[in-house]
Amino acid sequence: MVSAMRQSRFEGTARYLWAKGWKLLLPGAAAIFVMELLIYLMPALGLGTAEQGVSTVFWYVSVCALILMYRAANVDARFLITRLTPRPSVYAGVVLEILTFTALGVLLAAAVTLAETGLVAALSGLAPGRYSVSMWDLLGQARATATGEVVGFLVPYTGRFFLSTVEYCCFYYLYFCLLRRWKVQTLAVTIGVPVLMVVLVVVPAVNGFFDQIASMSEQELWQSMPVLMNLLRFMEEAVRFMIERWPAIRAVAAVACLALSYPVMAGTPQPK
Amino acid sequence: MTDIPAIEARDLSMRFGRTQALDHFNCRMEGGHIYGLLGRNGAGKSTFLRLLTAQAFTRTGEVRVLGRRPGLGTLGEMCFISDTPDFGGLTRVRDVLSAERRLHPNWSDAVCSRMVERFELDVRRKTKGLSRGMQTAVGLVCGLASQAQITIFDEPSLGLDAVSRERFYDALIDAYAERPRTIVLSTHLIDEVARVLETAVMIDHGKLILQRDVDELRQLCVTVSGAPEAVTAATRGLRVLHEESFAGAMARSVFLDAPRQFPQDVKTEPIGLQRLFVLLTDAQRGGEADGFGNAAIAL
Repeated sequence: MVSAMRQSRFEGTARYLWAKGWKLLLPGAAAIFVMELLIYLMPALGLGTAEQGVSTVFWYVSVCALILMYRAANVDARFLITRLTPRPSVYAGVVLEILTFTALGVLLAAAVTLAETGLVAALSGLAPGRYSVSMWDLLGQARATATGEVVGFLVPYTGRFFLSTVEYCCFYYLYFCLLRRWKVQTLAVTIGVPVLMVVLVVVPAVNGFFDQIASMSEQELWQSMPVLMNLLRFMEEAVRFMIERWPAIRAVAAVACLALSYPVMAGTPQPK
Repeated sequence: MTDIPAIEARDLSMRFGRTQALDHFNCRMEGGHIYGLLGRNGAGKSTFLRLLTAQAFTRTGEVRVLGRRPGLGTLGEMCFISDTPDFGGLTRVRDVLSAERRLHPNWSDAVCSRMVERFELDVRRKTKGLSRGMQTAVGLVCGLASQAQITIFDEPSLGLDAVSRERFYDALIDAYAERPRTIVLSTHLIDEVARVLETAVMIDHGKLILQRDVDELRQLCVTVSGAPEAVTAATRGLRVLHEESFAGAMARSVFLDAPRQFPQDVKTEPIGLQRLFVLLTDAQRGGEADGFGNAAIAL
């Protein structure tokens, strides 16, 4: 068992990805904290009058995830496969990387946000006109106006953000693997399909709809109302179905992406 | 010892667009020897190595490493040092060595330190600032320290200066003596590797043109020179690879079936490996026209 593990080079792969990952994550968190610190200090120095609240720094985890997945599908895969690391080990290493660095990233982001909350709370005591503890989440669903509320808001948000980032990592990884293997085709589909959809389906459909309405008499318009209403009801139900099942749809899509990325990555010939 | 070869290729073919990189290539390499995969640029050496190391795939023919298809079961036993150094975004030489150390199960720290010293590598240096020769040296250190059962070097001396090249070949012999294993040196600089090789595998236009023991080749491939009549008589019925006349004398390069004694009136000397390769590739190309064809390149 130990020998098989050694032969699979999984430990070496994991350590290589770990060594590269934290060098992105930790300095990134430190840089963002310093940047935020400077923004907080500006009003104190009279360089801004706006009331300064606490901002979440979770966006940085998304940026890191994007960079990590790009590297995992390109530089890291090339390095490891050239070193004759078996593809299953490379893949397992990436899965571990997604889970580990997303967890570390959201924890770091939460820690930085808490540190900022403490700082703003302290500053609001000194200059209440310039600083106050206030925070909104991106969708405007929650608002925190006190340190305790910020903590209460952060705990569930961190969990939700972790799951969401893991899902995004799966999409990113598949996309970058596809891009590495079939660059032209992937770009053509990514850009071409939406453009074609708009040009060939959406625009003619909308134009046709309005032309049809314009050519109808008032009586015909009233007669077609039930059909239109049915169509709108169907669309509303479809949208509601999507919204209700959205977390499940995303989770299934993420698992499918992660599963699909293996054959794409494993079948990619190494560049000369 | 088992009779399973370390590396075996059967009827291997691969095409890139219009280029036939490998054309029904066959070869068999036994374990515990130093092989030289020799060929011109674009002969198909790197393609063969990429198939061997599961970095490229083909459906035509078969390649086996330790009796198995290249993959999970074989890659852990191998180390491949590519001709294009890739440090995977690791910033310092010590980071690269540390990553390699964890990837190779038989890694020897002692060999690594010895090689770093021999190549005068500064492990604190940034990989981006390394010269081409230094980049190659990092790869060579990894290849030797990995102590893998099958170690493959693709163009190992690319960018190295003369001193470093000699140091590498000395180090290779030391490392091999310390821990015998299968080593494959793929190169087009044939004379340079000749002294360390046990077996030469020559490839041209994707085809195997010769696979023979190097010592045996020294006895079988000779240039016979002297008076034209004497040389003609001494080489009658032999496979002549090349003939040249100068200042009333004649020299014929011949490929013998078995070692033999030549008459006293002619001078004989072994053909160097590089010269032999040139003659064989010319014979292969002139094939049917000059009558050498496959007879001259029989295994």
